[in-house]
Amino acid sequence: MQYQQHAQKSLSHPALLILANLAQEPKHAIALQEVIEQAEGLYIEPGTLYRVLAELEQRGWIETLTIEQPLRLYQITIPGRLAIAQAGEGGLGERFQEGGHPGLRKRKEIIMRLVLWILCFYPPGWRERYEAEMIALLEQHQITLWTVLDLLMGALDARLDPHYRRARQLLPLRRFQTSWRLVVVGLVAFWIALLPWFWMSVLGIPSDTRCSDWQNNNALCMLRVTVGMHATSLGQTLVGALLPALPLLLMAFLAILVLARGKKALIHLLLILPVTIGMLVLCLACAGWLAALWPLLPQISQFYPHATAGLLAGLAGMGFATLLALGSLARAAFALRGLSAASPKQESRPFSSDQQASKAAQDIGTPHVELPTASASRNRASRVSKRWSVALVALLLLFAFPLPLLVPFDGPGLLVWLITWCPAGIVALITALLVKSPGKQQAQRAPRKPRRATVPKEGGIFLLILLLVFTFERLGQVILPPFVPILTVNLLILMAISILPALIVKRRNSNQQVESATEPVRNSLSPRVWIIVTPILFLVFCMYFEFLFMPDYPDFSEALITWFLTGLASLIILLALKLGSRTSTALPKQELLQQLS
Amino acid sequence: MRTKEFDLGRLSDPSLLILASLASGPKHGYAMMEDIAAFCGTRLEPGTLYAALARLERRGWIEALEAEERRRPYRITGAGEVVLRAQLKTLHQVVSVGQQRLAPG
Repeated sequence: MQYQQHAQKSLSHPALLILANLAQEPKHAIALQEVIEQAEGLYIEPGTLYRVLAELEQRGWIETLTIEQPLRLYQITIPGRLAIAQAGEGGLGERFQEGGHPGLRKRKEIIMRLVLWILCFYPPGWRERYEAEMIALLEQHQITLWTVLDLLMGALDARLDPHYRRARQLLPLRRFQTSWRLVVVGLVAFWIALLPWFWMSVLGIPSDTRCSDWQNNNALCMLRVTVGMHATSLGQTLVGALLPALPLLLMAFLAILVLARGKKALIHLLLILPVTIGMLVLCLACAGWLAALWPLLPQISQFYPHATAGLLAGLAGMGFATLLALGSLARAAFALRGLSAASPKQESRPFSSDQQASKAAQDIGTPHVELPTASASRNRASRVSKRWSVALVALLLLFAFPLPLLVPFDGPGLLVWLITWCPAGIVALITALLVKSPGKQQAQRAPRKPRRATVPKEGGIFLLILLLVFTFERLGQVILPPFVPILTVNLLILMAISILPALIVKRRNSNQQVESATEPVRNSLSPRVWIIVTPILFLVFCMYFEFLFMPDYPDFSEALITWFLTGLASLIILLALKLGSRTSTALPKQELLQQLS
Repeated sequence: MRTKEFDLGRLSDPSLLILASLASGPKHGYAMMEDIAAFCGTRLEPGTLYAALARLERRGWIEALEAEERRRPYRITGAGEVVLRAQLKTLHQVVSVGQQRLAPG
């Protein structure tokens, strides 16, 4: 590490000279510098001088005299004299070169790593300009807790600075991965928020809501209650009206955005949208349900003392998750707007298939072709998006409409299940397919580097897992021992729907990354952070709900299995993130220029 | 007295210290910190130092010189000197008025 090099490079000689000089009489820094330059012909840079002085002072070998004059006067101490005496026997140089006690050095290195990590919090613009010198400075500086806090404050300050914010928003697509993390955070919060929902389903519906057989179809029953089918209050009816309306609004938003072209942002949007809709629906449903349950809470609290707190916590979590998701949606929208603003009308001109074919042939024919022009590639993207957008919007409509409400409650269980989950699965599948289409364009554009044939495999895996998960739920009720909670199964389904398309994108990106020249990823936090944080959060919340809120929880083994499966879910997230970590934050520069030209 | 034009804004104290430190010649970050610690006893932390430094640089009151290895010295500009003078004048006034008012009698 740089830090180590530095410690070995410049410690021994100047320190000895300074000590030897101070042994004669107390001097201030500038006098020291001059004397050493005259006597030894060695000019000690001010930075080195002060650093060595600080180090010697810290070791207790020199001390500052209390002074009234502007410059500090240094004098040697008795340990300092002893150290010089030892240096005569050759000990000092070595000790200096080792940079003190090995344990101490190790600690310093850890601290330095922490500090370097904190620098990641600074905005990219700032880091490009100041990071190198800041690191050089920090290597010399004695780092305390206050330094760390100060750096964090500095990072916050720079983040709030409009100057750097503007610089960042000029190229919002570069922050693709950051937005990604936003989505992941949203997802985690969402899952956490799901827990009280399912927990309440375990709790059951009060008898006066006429869900007599809630034990079989608790989630559906809750939805029906929420939407106001079983109640008369105006508030519930309103929530019931809002529930389907909000996703519709969101989808209109999406349709407009999709038609506005821009493939990267399109991918982004497609990834976020199902999640966002799900969150919104669930948030509203939970709120409605809470409203419906409110008068009954005192009764419930007698049995479950933390019921109110649990519900409110869940609601807060969902609200937070929804906000995050909406935030990333808005971010993608900005990216799209930036793209469409940067690309003038010409791309709406249809590109004949002949032309396209000839272009492709040209690309394949010559090994060193220039990339197709920006408008051409964008045109392809827009063609793809237009073709798919209709189907997608239709499917999302299907997904968003509360279909289960239409099913007669005592209808066949399989039908209910099919109608509940299949649209979601189809949406996920379409998302995955759509996500791949820009990848094909990528392949067309760079034909001389044949891409690995991973796409069909990924699709297969995706379908398999989806199928497994779906069957799992159904089978769970029949085959699996009764202690596997339905909660976890539902969690897994949601996870599969949300994370798998993402996984595939990440995979695709990483493949591209392997092929293209790699640049070190600078402007991003380490994925390790997420790897550590996500499962801990998850498990903590599971424990929280399993034990804290339900002290008379029936079975410990059930809780254990929940934990295990939750851990599995976390692992899959981690896998996605791990794959993501191999991709760069930035799009290839050329592509960026094309998009923004 | 303090006009908007010469206002150092947030982090005014570190900014003033940096300007004062650079008035004696170009320095890089660590030298600045040590110099400031020597002449006024305040030990600036790197985060604060660079927050102020970035602001001053953007306002054109200091400028970066050619980097030596990884370190980069900074120099006060003409505009920076004007600002420093104005600030010092204000401070001087504060000092003299304060002393006057504290004086017994």
